[in-house]
Order: sequence, then C-alpha cells, then structure tokens
Amino acid sequence: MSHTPPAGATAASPLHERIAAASGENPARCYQCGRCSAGCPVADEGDCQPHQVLRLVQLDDEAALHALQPWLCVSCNTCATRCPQQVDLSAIMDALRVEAIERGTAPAAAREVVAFNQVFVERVAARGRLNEGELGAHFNLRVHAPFKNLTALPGMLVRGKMRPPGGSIAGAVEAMRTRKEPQQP
Amino acid sequence: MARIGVFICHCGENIARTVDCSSLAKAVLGIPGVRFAVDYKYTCSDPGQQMILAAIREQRLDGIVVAACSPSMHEATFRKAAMIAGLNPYLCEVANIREHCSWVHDDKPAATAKSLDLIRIMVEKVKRNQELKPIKVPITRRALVVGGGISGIQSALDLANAGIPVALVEREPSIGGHMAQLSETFPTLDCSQCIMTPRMVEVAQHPLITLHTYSEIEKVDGYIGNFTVTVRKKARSVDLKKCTGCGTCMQKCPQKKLPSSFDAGLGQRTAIYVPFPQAVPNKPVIDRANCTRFTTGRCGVCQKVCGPGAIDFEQQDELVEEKVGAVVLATGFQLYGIGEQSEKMLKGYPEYGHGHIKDVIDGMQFERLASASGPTAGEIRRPSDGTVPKTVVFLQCVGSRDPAKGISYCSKICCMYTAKHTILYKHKVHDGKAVVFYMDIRAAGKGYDEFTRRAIEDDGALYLRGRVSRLYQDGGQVVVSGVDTLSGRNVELRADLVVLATAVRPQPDARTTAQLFSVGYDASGFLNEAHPKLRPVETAAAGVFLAGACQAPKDIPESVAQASAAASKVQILFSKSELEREPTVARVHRAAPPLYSICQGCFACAGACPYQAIEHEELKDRRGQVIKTVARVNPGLCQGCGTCVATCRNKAVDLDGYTDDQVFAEIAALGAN
Amino acid sequence: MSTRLAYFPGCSQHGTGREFDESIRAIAGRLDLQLDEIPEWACCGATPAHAIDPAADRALGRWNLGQAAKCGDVPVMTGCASCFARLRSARAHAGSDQRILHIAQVLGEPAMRERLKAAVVRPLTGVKVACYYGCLLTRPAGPDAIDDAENPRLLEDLAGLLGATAIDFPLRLDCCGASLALARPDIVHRRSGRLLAMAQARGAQALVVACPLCHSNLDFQQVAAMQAVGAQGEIPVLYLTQLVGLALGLEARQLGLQRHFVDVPALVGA
Repeated sequence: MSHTPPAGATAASPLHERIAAASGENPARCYQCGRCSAGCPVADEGDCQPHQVLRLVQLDDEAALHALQPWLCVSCNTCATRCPQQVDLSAIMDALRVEAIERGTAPAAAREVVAFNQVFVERVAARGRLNEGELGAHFNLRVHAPFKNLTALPGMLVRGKMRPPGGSIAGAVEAMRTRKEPQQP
Repeated sequence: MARIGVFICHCGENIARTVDCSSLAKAVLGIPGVRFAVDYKYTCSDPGQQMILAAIREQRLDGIVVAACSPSMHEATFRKAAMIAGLNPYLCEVANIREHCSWVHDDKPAATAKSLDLIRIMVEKVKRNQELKPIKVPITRRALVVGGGISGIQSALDLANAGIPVALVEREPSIGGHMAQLSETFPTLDCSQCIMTPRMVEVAQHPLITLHTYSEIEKVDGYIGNFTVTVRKKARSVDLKKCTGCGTCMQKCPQKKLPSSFDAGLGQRTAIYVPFPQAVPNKPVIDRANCTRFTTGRCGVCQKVCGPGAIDFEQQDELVEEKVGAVVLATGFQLYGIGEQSEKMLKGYPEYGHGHIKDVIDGMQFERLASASGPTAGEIRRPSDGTVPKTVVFLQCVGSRDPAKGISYCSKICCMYTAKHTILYKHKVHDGKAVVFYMDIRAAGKGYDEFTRRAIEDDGALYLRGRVSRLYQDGGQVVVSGVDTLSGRNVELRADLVVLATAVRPQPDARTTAQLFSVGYDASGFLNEAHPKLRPVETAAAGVFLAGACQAPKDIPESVAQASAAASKVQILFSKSELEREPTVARVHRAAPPLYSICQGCFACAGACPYQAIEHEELKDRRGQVIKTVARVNPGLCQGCGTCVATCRNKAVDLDGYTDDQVFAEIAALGAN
Repeated sequence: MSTRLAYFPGCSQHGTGREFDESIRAIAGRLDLQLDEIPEWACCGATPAHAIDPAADRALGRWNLGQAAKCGDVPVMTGCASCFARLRSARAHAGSDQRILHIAQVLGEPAMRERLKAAVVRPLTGVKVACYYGCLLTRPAGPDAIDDAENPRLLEDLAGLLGATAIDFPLRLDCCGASLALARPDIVHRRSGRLLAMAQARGAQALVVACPLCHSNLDFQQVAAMQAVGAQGEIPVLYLTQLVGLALGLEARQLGLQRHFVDVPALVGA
C-alpha cells in the first residue's frame, strides 16, 4: 500500500516508525482482523500469533523484537496475499528480524533459526553460491550439534545429491563484501 | 460610491483559531467601498443575523460580504437576512475563510492576510452585483418513483395517500424487491412477507398509483417541476388486460429448470413465470432468452393452453411518456457476487470456493432456505444433498471492509442479518451449531445490540472474533480455516454449510441511472445526497430525491424512513403552485436594432450545454422578417454552470451573478494586493 | 524455431535438487528450448538473505540481473520457486524490465503448449496427480507471478496436456515448512505431512512440484512427515519437468528419477 515511511527514523524513534521505515509498510493500517494468522502455516507454533506481533509494533512494544514468531515465519506470503488492508506482514517480519539481529534481541528459542539464516548468508558471502553440505556442516558447528542430521548424509551421497563445493564466484563475493544497507526509499 | 458591510465570523474557534478576526475587521475597513466591518463569534446565529439586519438598515449598506464558512453551508441563511433588511439577496456574498483558509492553514498571520485577500475579492464582486429576481416555473403535481422495493413502495404510498398521483416504475416483473425475498426481519423477527405483501397489494389497488412493472427508464428530459420521463415497458409477451393469472401456462411450460433469481438460484422456475406466488401484478412474463419458442421457434404450449388468449409472442416494447414534477430514486442494491466476479473492479473470493463449493452460499440464499415460501419450504437444507446441516459457519465482512478486494466501506446490515440467521437456524435445527466469524459487531440501532446478545446468550451462537483465511471442500463438508484473535488460536472447523455475509453493492447500472437523472455518485457507485448531514434526501439535481439503499447500505427501517422523508420533500415542493429557482443562469446578449445581438448563431454553446438549455430564437425586424437566428437560454433548464460562456467565441453569453466583469474584478482584486 | 532462454539453475539444482536441473535440460532438448546458462550466476539469497540481511539480498539480486544481461535480450528462466521469487524482487527493486520466467510459465505459453502437445509420445492417461504450488510460484501476487494467487490453473493445465488427471487438492497453496528444514524439522514434518496425507487420501498417485525445497521436504523428509501426522504409506513426488519428461518418452535415468528417496513406480507402461 502506498505509504510514505517516516523520513529519518532513527534508533531512538518509536518501534512502529522504525519498522515502517525499514519495511515500507504502515503498521497503522492493520485493523487486527486476524486473517494473516488464520492462514499462517506457523501461527500456532510460536509464542504469539502474527497479528499479535503486528499489534506489539502498533503499541511500540519492544517485546516484538524479542518474539519467537518472526523467526518461525517462512516468508510464504500468505498473510500479505490475503490481508484485506494490503499490509505486507512478510516485509514487517523481515524488518523485525533485521532489527532483532542488530540489537541482539532474538530469543533463545530462535537460536537455531537465527544460526541457519546467519550461516546461510555467511556461506553465500564466502563463495557466491551455496553448497548445501557445507551449509549443513557449518550449521551443526554453530549450534554445537556436530552430528545432527548426519544419518541423512549417506542417502544423499548415494543419490548424488551432496557434492563437494566448487569454486567461488569472485564477482559475487566482491559484491557481497561491498554490500551496503539498501537506501531508504 | 459603494457602501459595503463586512461581517467576519469566528465560527466558534473554527476560524478564530487561525485567523485574527478582530484585526481583520480593522484591516477590512481599508478596502475602498467598505463602510462597515465587524467580527462576531457565530454570525449565523440569531444575534449574528440581527447584527447584519441592523447594520444594513443603520449604515444604509448597498451590499454585504459575510466572511465565514462555505457558501454551500450558509449563503442562503445570510441572503435571507439581507432580504429581511430590504436588500436584494443577490447583493450578499460569502467569502469562504473557513474551508478555504482557517481549516487548511496553521500560520495565523499568513492565514489572516489570506482572509483579507478573500474578503477583498468578494467586496469587488459585490460592487458589481446586480439585483436578481428568482425565476418562477410552474410545477407538474405528479411524481415518479423509480424502483419498487420497500423504499419505492413506501414513497409511492406516502405520496399517493397525500393525494399526489404517482408513476411507479419497477424493472422486474413484480414489485417487492429484496424485502420480498427475506424470511424474517431483525430485530423483531417479523415475517417479511406478512408485512410486505399487504403494502404491495395497496400499491396495486391505489387509484393514484400507475404501476409500470418490467419497465425501465429510457430517457429523462426537463427540470425540477417539469420532467418528461420516457419509460420503456419491456415486452412481457403476456397481455395484462386479458390475463386472469390462472397459472395454467406455467404448469404446462415444458422449460422447467431455469434458476429462479427470486430464490437466489436455489429454486427453479419455468420460462413463462411469475417470480413468486405473491407477486404484484400476479401475472406471468415470458423470459424470452430462455423460452423455447423464442430460441428455436418451436413450442407455443402456453399460447395453446391460455383460455383468454393473453399470450402474445409478437408483443413489442412500448415507450410511455410520464410528465412529472419530481422524482424519487429508490433503485436499491445488489449483493456482491460470490461466484463469478460480478463486477470487474472486484477480485472475488477464490479462496472461499469461488462459488464452486455448493454448500458455500450467501446471505440471501440462506434467507430463501429459511423462508416458508422458499425452495425448501422453510427447512434449512444444504444445496448439495438436501440434508439438514448440523454445523453452520457464518462469515461476516465478505467483501465489506476489504480494500484488497476493492471495497472499503462497511455494509452495515450484515452484523444484524447474520445474528438473525443464527437465531432462525437454531429455532429450526435445535441440535445445530452456529458459529460466526466477525471482526466487530456493529449493532447500533434500536434493539439491535440486544438482538445480537440474544443470538449469543439465548440461542447459543458461538461468535469467534477473527477472519477466515480460506475454505475448501473435504468429503461432504467444508473445512474452515480461521482464527479466534481473542484467544490467539487458529480454529479449523468442519462445517456442513457456510454462509457468507457478502457486501452490499450498488446496482450494476447505478451509474447509468445517476447519469440519466444528473445525480452524482460516489467511487463505489452509490448515489450521492446533496449534503451528508443537512440534505440527506436531496441530490445535486433539483427535484430528484433519494430513498433507500441506492444511496448507501441501509436496513429496512432506515430505508422506510428515508423513503417517507423523500415523499415529504416532494410534498414540500408541490405545496407551492410555482417554483422559485436561483436566477444565476446564462443570458445571451440582446441589443436594440440594428445590432439585435452579437450572437452569430453558431450554436457551439448548444453542443457544449449539458442541460439542453440552449434554444433557437429568430430575431425579426418590425415587419416580421427574420434577421437572424440566435441562441437563447431557457432559464428553466439552465443550471448556471457557465460552460456556454467559456465556449462562446463572441462573448455573446454571460452568466447572471457571475458575469465576466465580476469575475475579472475578483481576479484583479487579488492581483492588486 | 528454437526458443532461447537465459537459464538460472540456482544452488539447489547443483545439489539436492539435481534431478530438477537434469530433467529441465532433458525436456529442453525435446522441446527445442535453448538454455544459455547465465555465466557466473550467484545464489539468489533465498529466504535467509532478505530475512536478516536485506543488503545481501539486494547485492545478490543486482549481481544476478547484471550477469543475466550478458546472455542478451532474452528472458531469464529458472526452475526454483525461491530463485524465481528473488529474481522478481530484484527486478522490481532495479526497476528493470527484464522478463523473469519460471519453467512452468515457459511451458504454459500458448505456442509452447502446442509444441508440448505434439511432443507427447507416452500420454499419462489415467494417471492421477496432485499439483502442488507451494508459496513462491504464485506469491507475492502480481502479473509476473506464474498464475493467480488464489485460483491458479497452470500446473493442472500442464498435467492435463500430458494426459494426466489433476485431482482436487485444496492444500496446493499451503506452505510445506520451507526453509525451517534444518532448524525446525518438526514444523516441516507437520506441514508437509498434512499435504502428503491429503494427496494420498484423495487418490493421487504422485505429487507434482516445481520447487527443489518443496521436493526435499516432501520426498527426502517424507517418512518423518508421514509419521508426524500419523499417516501410512508413501507417495512419489515428481518435479513438473520429470512428469513432462515421462510423457515425452524420456527414460527415468535421463530425468534423475533414481535420485528420489521415495521410489517412483512406473506410472505409465513405458
């Protein structure tokens, strides 16, 4: 929905302004009908429902940055597709995750999801492409579970689905090294 | 030298908050021609008007400017005051320093300066104002009501009972509208048929009501007091004079499987049919699009069995002219189509089954299931297999309050009729479970909130606050994936029947109706009232009034109230023998011979005029020889829009009250500062 | 006349989704599609990049669009739903008019449908399939998604062209659990289990997918997923391109069917 994000939202701005600036969405548009939660594949898996996460943002309650729910969000976009008010909740979830990482507020229960996302981006930054075996190995090390999912490995190998990483894409690695925060629209 | 008085209104704080009214009153005295200036808190109040009266008399003012709110709000008020004081009302002008200034600015010195400019402009105009006299036009004391639902019926009966002849035009073969389709009505559970059908009969029997059913408006000419409306009486293929309404034709018609729109598609009818047994007139019509006789040329059974010989396959549409002085538009609404998209701008609800899941129905279909005259004789039975549903889920706000689907407004009636549906259902299926998904319960009305509480507390409807993401068929049931936001839990239900409270939409051709009668409409297509608060029944077209859901979603009590209001507005109009109209109309130049007129007779104005107000006039010399044919404005038709003035290459036409001289003076006054 | 496309395989196509790449290339040969692999394409960033590091997401998007341009003025085609979504997003951010197509869209273009119909040598008559869209083929909704977000027909139409029968599969737009596979496999099992159980209960002989992550969650994780919802048995999961390949008379090995965890029985008399 067209919405001018508050210009110059800073770290000291209230939460709804920071999230609006980062996501390009206007949290005030949400009228709490719950249609996002109704269709969300992980609505009942977390500590609160998607519409409640957005409610916390409306209330400028920093608890939104400590919530588990955004980390369970799989960016399936069902919420945004069905929202009667055309709020892209997926984008708001992105903004919450980014800020939770910056502020170190991601909850302990999200440790593995956080680790997965971070390791993924790190691996891509290192090679330009992702090797799933490498991703798995680094993920295991990060969450201190070296043998996790290891039983799957032989099957993958037999089927030719796990292969040693190839070379790097130098240009993409450089593009990742010099990446900047995208400019606010 | 002019003697102009200026009255500056504070409008409480509306103006005074951002405009320094007292220093403005002093500054205004510096404008040439201003003899008197004063500021006051509420100029429109009685003391305020007394102040104007006194100043006009004592200061011998020959023109006044009231700097206040929009002229659409109080110009008439102040002009009346001027008139009482003996000043021609058209020597009073309003400078709008509220909407055009105080409401839209917050810098007080700048807003004060701008107010001074706005006043200076109007002072320059008033100096050039002419005394104008209202135009008088005769009134045809007969009314047209368009639409034969409850609103149109109410208006027509009120007017006819007041002694005013009425022509009632209904598009369908019977009057009755949506109300005739309803089972019971909220919040009293009155049987709709029991209160509706007697009124329909009253219409048919009233000596002052001419009923045109199966008819549509073809053309509208004329103006307030004097409309000529052409009505197309569609070929019914049945001679109403001969037909006795015996029904043999319908019994024998071999084409029996057509969906009945009266039963919202749940029942079937024949090709020659009356929409429902209590129809008025209770005489059939042939649906030519589906009649075998008309599609293939074979058949003709109805004609053979008709004793009085009323069947007429050759019947043609007939055009009838109705001369009326006023019009009430009561064209009603349609329900948002849940199946195929009924309107291009709307996206529909494929996630709710898109009309493909048989046991997902809309509110009107539920009415027909609950109605004693419906296809199941009042038993709640599923369309798919005819069984009695044990779990019925009702979804509110399907289409309403859903900008993503193209509708942002609240449909107003759904909260109430859904509560009614749950009650009717529980009364008919005692062991049934009714579940409602809602966002808010909007039950503002006499006895309304109590009614929804009754549904919940006494009849056991389970209200879940939240919306449903999607529906799908699984086995013989419909899976409902929703949320209850109050508990913060998702809810997955297996329903036997799902009822969608779909949005109230304008009629598909509402815009065409609006254009025929020169009435405005909003972004959705609902017809616009003249003022949302103070003129809710009038329209921008003088002499055309609104009743019912054509203006906005409304329930029955509101529709009836507005219909009576519209009827009383017509009676007020008809209470005089002549009409007074605003004299701000265009005038084509005339002069003494040998010039006669600077109009060249090119009639570019005639092409530009939206109101067909330009006539041809032959100017003749003393001997009666035609010198030239020039334009003349019919003051009865002219609405004073000024389009002709802008079109005329010779500047031969000008607008009284808004002459070029006046307008240029206003612009010059602004430039002079 | 051959149709030239700038091919963006994506990382999974070199690993767990290898047979997707193999089957795309195999059918391309039969359908006269010339696939020019984009030189030095990089990871699209998938979900993690936009989820925690939007700068990374944008940097990768810019890089990939730049590389795609080196293939000339031809549409970019990918098989992976996630790559498709990220490339669409990159294109929107760049304000570029580069056409981004998913393989299903390429196959669904009118001329291609004709070509496909003509190339079918082993019609899948009588084969019942459940077409599964998942999330990112149709969402975010838009004219550049493969089809309508709520009422898509493309996969069913294509299955029909091959002679197969698409069953009514209401969960076809529901998420499989996606990238939670490593971090929260429990959720993936529950989500994928529902899909599998419904497809099976409704008589589908195979699920048809067009995303390597969906495939992994539904095929590789199938035993655990079935267990999670208390369902029995198994159901093969085919990539759309494998289904097409079978109808075009290609051999199982050419389509990489041997790489699946759930065996694919002969659906048609080969």
